[in-house]
Amino acid sequence: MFLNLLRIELYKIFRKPRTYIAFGAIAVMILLIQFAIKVQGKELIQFFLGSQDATFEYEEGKILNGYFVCFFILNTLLIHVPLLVALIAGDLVAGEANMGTLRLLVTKPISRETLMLSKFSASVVYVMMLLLWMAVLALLGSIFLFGTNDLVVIKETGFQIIQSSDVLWRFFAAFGFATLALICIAALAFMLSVFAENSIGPIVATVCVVIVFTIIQQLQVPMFQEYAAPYLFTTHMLGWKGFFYVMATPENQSIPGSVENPWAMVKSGLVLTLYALLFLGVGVISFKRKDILS
Amino acid sequence: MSDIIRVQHLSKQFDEIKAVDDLSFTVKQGCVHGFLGQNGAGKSTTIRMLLTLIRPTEGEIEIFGLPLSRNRRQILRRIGAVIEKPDLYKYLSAYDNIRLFARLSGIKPERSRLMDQLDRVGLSARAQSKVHTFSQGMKQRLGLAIALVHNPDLVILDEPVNGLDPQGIADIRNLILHLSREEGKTIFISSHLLSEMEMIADNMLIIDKGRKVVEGPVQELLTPEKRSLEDYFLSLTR
Repeated sequence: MFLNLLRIELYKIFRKPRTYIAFGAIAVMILLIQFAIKVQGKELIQFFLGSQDATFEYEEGKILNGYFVCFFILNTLLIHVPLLVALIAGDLVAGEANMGTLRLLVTKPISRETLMLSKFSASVVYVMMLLLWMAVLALLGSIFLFGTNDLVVIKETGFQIIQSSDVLWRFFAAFGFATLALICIAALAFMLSVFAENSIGPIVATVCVVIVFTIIQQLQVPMFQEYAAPYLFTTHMLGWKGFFYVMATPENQSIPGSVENPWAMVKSGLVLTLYALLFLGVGVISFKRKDILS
Repeated sequence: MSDIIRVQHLSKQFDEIKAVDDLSFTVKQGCVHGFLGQNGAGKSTTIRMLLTLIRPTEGEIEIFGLPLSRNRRQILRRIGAVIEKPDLYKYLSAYDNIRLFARLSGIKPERSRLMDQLDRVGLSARAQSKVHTFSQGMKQRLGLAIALVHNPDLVILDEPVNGLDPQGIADIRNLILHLSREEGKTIFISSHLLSEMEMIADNMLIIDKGRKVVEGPVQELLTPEKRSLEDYFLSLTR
């Protein structure tokens, strides 16, 4: 029954025109970035190199490659994708309540828990497809347009060069981690959706939570940094970057296959998983007890 | 005839408001049971409790001889329902809607059976039209087709003729009578159209302010020398 329900939920999601807004928006944003870099990539590299330009001996032409462009796209877009995820996940229950179909669904011989789990699972599939779409356009598209070379990662403390043969797996891992982070956002939007009768509320509320948490996390206030930021899921959503921070030899050569702080990434992954389970649990239990009045 | 629905001391409290107050009634197998009351009398709340959309504050509901609270899925499998205005998936066609809800009811019918159901409510010609192009009356008829697609034993209808024109009302009336008389289905129906109820109902339950006012066979309640259903209803609920 669960698989049957999941199929039905996916069918409903992918028959809705708004579903394709996210795919279209991602395609437009990625193509715009790729076009801009193709036209004015050198200026971009100079901007990033900034004051360290003189001390960093590396050809600009080699820096500007498909891996660098994909890394740049991920840094730029993964902040905005939660909005696109909320657009669908926030609509899952509230949208049905608003349409009047929720009452019809609940009168069918399906347990409310199964109904909710199938809806959430459908949103997970949607997130995965969105990330896959992003990966195809950002990674494969950039490799096609700019070729491959070593990846230069620009950090606050300096630069790291990752050999081209050591880069691809890091992107796959980063997309995998980003999927987990976006599933957490989907779970939040899904939970809020249970308490609303139209989808605008949970979508806006999800985006507001992400914005407020991000501001708290970025404010350089010691109290926030010590007591709040480590516990906010938005802090851990950036964990994917850890795959591009590598260990180096004393001669400052990056060690292939290494990750600077694997424990921090495991911890971020666990925090995101716990948050997702918490949001999902609250959503399912609340729905089970809810009187359907819509 | 056995009891298909048996409700005992049913109550529902919403904060300060008692929407349904100690309501008890039975619905016999194979009959059309009319459910009447003024706006806000508690009809929709009662129907939603029968369909597990709302949890009762107190009381017991038995359907098909089984307690609803412990046999929800087993019971719902045998019920078809139209609850107020049936808003369906507007971005899907009538055919896709009925197919989707058939699968949710646990059946995987062939196309011909689904088309038969649409034909039964006069919508086969519009099977491939998106529901957002439908009038309220057409949605109402599609809702009825969806309620019947899994061949339920009990059909619960909350205001099923809302938004229908006179011909549509007559068609639904004939369909309800056919379901009851020819197919032996039990119909529990609420409606504001008293003249319609008078024509189709075998038994009647009238509630006011959440409480039962009267229940019994229509023939006994409305003897010719007494009055019309409208007069009777108004005298009870004023």
